[in-house]
Amino acid sequence: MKLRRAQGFTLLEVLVALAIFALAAILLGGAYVNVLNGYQVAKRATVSDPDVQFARSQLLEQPDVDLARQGGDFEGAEGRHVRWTATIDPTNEADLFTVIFECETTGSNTAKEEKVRQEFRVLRPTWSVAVDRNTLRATSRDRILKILEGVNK
Amino acid sequence: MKRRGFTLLETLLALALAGLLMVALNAFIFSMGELWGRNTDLRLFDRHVRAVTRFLEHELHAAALPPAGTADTAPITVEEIRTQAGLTETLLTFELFQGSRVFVWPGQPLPEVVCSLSVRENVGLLFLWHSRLEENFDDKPPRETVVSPLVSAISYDYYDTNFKNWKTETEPRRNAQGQYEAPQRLRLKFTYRTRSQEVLLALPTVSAGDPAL
Repeated sequence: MKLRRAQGFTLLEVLVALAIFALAAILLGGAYVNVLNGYQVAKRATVSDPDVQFARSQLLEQPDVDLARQGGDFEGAEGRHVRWTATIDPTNEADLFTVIFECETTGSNTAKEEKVRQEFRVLRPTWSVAVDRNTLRATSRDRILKILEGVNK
Repeated sequence: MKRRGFTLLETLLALALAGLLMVALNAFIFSMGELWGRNTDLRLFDRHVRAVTRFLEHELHAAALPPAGTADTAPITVEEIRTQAGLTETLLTFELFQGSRVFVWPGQPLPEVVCSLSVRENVGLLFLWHSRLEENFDDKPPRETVVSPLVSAISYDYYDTNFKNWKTETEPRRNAQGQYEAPQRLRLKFTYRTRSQEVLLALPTVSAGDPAL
């Protein structure tokens, strides 16, 4: 029987194999880290700050626009002090307002200070001034009529 | 045939690579175990807490919609409810005009469901519910449906408009006239083995400023 020279893998072959394996491992590891991050984010979503939520609800429940502009403050969780303000501007549509809501929590050693700024639009009939509303409605009506004219031509 | 061994360099390199591989694999496999092995039940617990919270938020929100929720009547109140065991419990009560998918009716589903939230020891969070359209609405105690067996405690958060602070009570509070007051927030404590988690639910209100949609 002819003796064959016992041959192992060359260094190059082993390195290539390792590289392929490492690539696969990195891909899997990445997927795994993604899953972990997903859990974190999902957890954060349930414990969204109740103080900010309450401040926002105070603003949205305020029927008087001047009081809403003044803002307010209250004692939040864990001895925190919460203060909120709102800038309310009318838009070109009747009863629709652009609101910039800012909420600041201070005064606790355990929790860090926080500042939240949100910008959104709300429909609030009680915030409107009757004269402005009528003007805006008239403008909207004219605009719609003009569009209709163009359509019917 | 001349048998050649490995050189020292080759051996060292091979050892170093093998070592690196071992360490990486170990970390990987153990963290995978964390994810799919031992802690599956805790992940499920988190998911359960989230799902129950979302569901309750949704139902309470539905209760604040018209016709039950108008600016002059509070959609969510505290009422004394006679239970099937013959006891009287003071419970948060709301009305779901269109019912809900958890209410399983013996006959056909009815609208105008009056529903209360109760937490009992070793039972969990229950809905006590019946419809205003039932013939024996006034005399028969409401049906009971377990929403989550993992809820171990309920408490009520009241906001004091004068002092601008919060108070947490384990029982619904009465005002100076002796009537029960509805809280602004609800705290539910979920417990599973050693882990417990408290969630805060804001109760929806209807104010005069809301547009009539």
